[in-house]
Amino acid sequence: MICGDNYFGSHIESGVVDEILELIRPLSPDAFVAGPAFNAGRYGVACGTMAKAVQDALSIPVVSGMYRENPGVDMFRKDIYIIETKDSSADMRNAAPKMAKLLKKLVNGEEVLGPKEEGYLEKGIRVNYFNERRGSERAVELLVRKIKGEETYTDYPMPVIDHVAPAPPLKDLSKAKIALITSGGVVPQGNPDHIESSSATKWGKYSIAGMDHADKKDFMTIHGGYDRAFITEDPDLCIPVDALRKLEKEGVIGKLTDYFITTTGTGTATNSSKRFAEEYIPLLKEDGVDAVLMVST
Amino acid sequence: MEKIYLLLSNNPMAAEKYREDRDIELSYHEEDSFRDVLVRARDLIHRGWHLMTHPQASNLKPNQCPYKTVFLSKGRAAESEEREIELIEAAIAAVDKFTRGMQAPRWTEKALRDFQTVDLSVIESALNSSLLHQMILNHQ
Amino acid sequence: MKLELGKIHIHDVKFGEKTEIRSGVLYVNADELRELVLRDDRLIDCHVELAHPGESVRITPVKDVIEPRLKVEGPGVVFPGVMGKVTEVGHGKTYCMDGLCVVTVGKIVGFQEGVIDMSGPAAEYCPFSKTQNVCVVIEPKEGLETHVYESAGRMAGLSAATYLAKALKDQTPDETEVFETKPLLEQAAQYPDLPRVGYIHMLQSQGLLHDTYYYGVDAKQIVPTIMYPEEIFDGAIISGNCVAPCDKVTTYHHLHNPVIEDLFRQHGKTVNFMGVILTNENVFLMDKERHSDMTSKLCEYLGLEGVLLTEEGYGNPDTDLMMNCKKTTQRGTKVVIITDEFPGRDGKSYSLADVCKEADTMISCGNGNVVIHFPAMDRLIGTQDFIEMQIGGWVGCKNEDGSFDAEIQIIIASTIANGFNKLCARGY
Repeated sequence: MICGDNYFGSHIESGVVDEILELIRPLSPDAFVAGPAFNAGRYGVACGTMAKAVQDALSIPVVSGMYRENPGVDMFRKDIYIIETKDSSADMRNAAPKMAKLLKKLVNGEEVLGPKEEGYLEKGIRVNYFNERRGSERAVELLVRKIKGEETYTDYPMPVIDHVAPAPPLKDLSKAKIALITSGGVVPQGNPDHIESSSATKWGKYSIAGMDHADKKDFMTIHGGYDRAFITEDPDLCIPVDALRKLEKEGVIGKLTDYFITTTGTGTATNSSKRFAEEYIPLLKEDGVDAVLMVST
Repeated sequence: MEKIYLLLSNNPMAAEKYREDRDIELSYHEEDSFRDVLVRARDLIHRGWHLMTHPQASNLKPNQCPYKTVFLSKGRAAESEEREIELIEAAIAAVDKFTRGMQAPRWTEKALRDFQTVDLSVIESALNSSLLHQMILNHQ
Repeated sequence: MKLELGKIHIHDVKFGEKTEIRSGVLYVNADELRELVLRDDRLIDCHVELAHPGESVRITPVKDVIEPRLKVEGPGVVFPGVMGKVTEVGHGKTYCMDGLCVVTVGKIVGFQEGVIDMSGPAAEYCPFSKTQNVCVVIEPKEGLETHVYESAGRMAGLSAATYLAKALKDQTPDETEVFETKPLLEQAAQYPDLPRVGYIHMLQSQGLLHDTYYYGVDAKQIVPTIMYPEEIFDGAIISGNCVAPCDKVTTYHHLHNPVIEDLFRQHGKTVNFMGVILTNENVFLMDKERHSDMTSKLCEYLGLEGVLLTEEGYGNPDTDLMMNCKKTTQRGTKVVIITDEFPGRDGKSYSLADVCKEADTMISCGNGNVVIHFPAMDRLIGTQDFIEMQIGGWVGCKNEDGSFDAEIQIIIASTIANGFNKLCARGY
C-alpha cells in the first residue's frame, strides 16, 4: 500500500483513513506493518494513524517503526507497538528485522516482553510484577548510590511536561510590530547559508524589506519533507508577506519587520529547535517585536 | 463587604452548613457531578479566583465518591496561576482516568450521607487550619 | 534512645479457657475479649473469629490491622496517649507477637473497607494472608455519628491488641533486635565516614477517615517535627485512616515501618541513620507550602545527605510528595521516593496526581488498578454484601457464587506505599 504523506495529511477529514481501510479489508490480512517512518514527521503520523485504524477495525496485530522524536511516537505509542529506529532510513537493515520479529510474536500469540527486550518504544502501560526484594530495601540501596554519585535508576520515569507560559495578550494589534518565522524551509534563492533540507542545525534571517510579497525569483524552499512544487511557485504560501503587507496597509497590524526567520522543521531535533529560539529571541527583543507569526508546514 | 471566599460544592451537607456564613460565599450546585464541580473551579481560576484547597483532597478517588467541594479565594494566592491551572487540570484528568468505561455505583442513602460527611470533613480540615482561619478573620 | 524488641514467634492461634501463649500458640479467651470490647457503649455487638494462613477464608470489610506489643521495661505504654499516658516511648524493652495480628472488621462507613483472603490468588498480594489473625467483628449502635463510630472502631482494635499483649508478659523472646539512635551530634560522630541519612515520613491528615495520630494527637495539628525512629516501634503512631485499602498504612505497618527497619539494617554498614522527620498531608495549599518548607529546612539543618520519602494515599498527598522532594533536593539533600501507582484500568495514564523533575529516583510498590479474580471462599468473616461499592469493586463485579473481580486496590496493603511488599510496576 503506497500513499504520499502529504496526500494523507491533507485528506484526513475527507476520509482517507476509511479509503485505505477499504483497500486493505478485502485482502483479509493476518497482520499489518506501517513504516518504518524513521524521523519523517508526517509519515510517522500517517503510519500511526493507519496502524491504529487497522488494529481497531480489523483486530489484527500491527507494528510500526519510528525514531524517538518523531511526532507520531507521542501520538500513538500508547495504542500500537512502535519499534525504535534511528533517525534515517540508513537504519532500515536494523529496524526491519525487529519489526518482523515482534509482528511474528503477535501473530503467533507469543508473550511480548518489555520494551528493552523487544526494541519497541515504551507504550507507557504499567504492568505489575514481583521483585526479588521488597521496595524499602531497594530504596535504601538506591539512596546510597545516589549519594555516592553512582548510576541510579527509577521504577517510574516522570512524564516530562514542558511548560510554556502563554504571553500576555497584545494591548493594541494596530500598533504592534510583527515578525514572521517559519520552519517551512523558505530561503533566498541559492540557500546562501546552506541550511539543511532536513535535521537542520542552523537557522537564517533574511530581508523582506520593501517587498509587497514573497516572489519566486527571490525565494525558494529547501524543505525535504513535503512536495515543494506549490511553495516553489508561490513562496507567500509559506511566508505570507503578501497578506501581512495588506494588513499593515489597512492598519490592522502596526508594522511587519524588515526580515523573516527560517529553518527546516523536518527531522530537526527538539533540542536544536530550542537552541534556535534561544538564539533569535534576543534579536527580536532588541528590535522591539511585539508578536510573532509562526508558520509551519 | 463583598465576600472574598467561595465554597464551591455539590454536597448538600456542606451547603446546609455554609449557606449563611459571614465570610464565605456559597456556590452550591445540586445537579453537578464530581467532575462538573472541578470544571466550574477551573473556570473560576481562569477568571481570577485562587485555589485554596487541593482539588484532589481526600483519598477517595473520583469514581469512589459523588461529592466534591473546592474552596477558592479572591485574596492571597497559595500558588502561582500556572500551578493552580496545573493542579485543577490534573484533577479533571484524574476523573477521566478513573471513570473511563466505568459505571457509577448505585449508592444507598446511608452511603451518600457518609460521603457527604467525609467530603465536608475533608474541606473543614482546611477551613480549620490555623493559617486559613486567621486569613479569613482578617479578610485577606 | 535505645530499644530492645523481643519477638515471640506465634505459629498458631486457638480459642482457649485462658488468654495465654504456650509453645508458640496463642490461646484466646473469646468471651473475655468480647466483653472488653463491648465495654464501649458505642458498640452493640462484637464477636471474635480466627483466621489462619492457607484457609479458605475471606475477611472483609477490614478497618485496621494491629500487632500486639507489650512494654516490659522502660517508661510509658504501647500506643502512648491512646492506651495510657502520653509519656515518651522508645526506651527499654518491648515484646511483640511475631506472626499474629488483630484485625478489626465491620461496616465502617458507606463505602466500606478492604479484603483479606487467607488463600487463593489475592493472598499473594496481602501481607496479612500470611499471619495468624484474631478478627474482632464489631457492630455499631444504630444512628451513631460517623466520626464517633470511626473512633469506636479504632479503639476496639487497639483495646483488643492491648488485651492480647498481656499474654506476652512472662515469655522469653525467640529473637531480639536492638535499635539505637544517639543524639544528633553523637550520632553524626559515630559513623563519620558513612552518609548521614534520614526518613521523611508523611502522615495522612485530611479529615474523617483520613487521619493519623502521633502520641494521640491528630497529625493535622502538628508542624513537621523530628522523631527518634525507636518511638514508632512502641506505637507512637497509630492509623485512623480507612480509605483506600491497598495503600493505607495500618497500625501494623507503623509498628513495622519497613523504611525504618531497612535503614536500621544498613545502619553502621552503608548508612548513618540519623532519625525520622514527621510531616503531614494537609488539604489547605498554604499548609502544604509551609510544611514542605519546614521539612526541607529540617533536612538541611540536620545535615542530611540523603532521605527516603514516603506518602500515604493518592491525589492530594502526591502534591506534598512532590513539594517535599523538590524543596529538599534544592536544599542539597538527595531524595529517593517510594510510592504506589494508579494509572487507570488500562494502565496508560499518569500514575501519580502530580509530578516534579526532581523525582528522578522512584521505587514503585505496584499498580493498584490491576484487576484480578477473587474466587469464592468457604468461610466469610464479616460481610461481602458491599463488594460492588468497596474501593476497587464496581457495579456487576460480584457473581452469585460469592466470587468477584476487582482491582487489587481492594486488598488490604497490596500496594502499600512504603515498600513493605515486593510488588512493583514497570513500563511496557
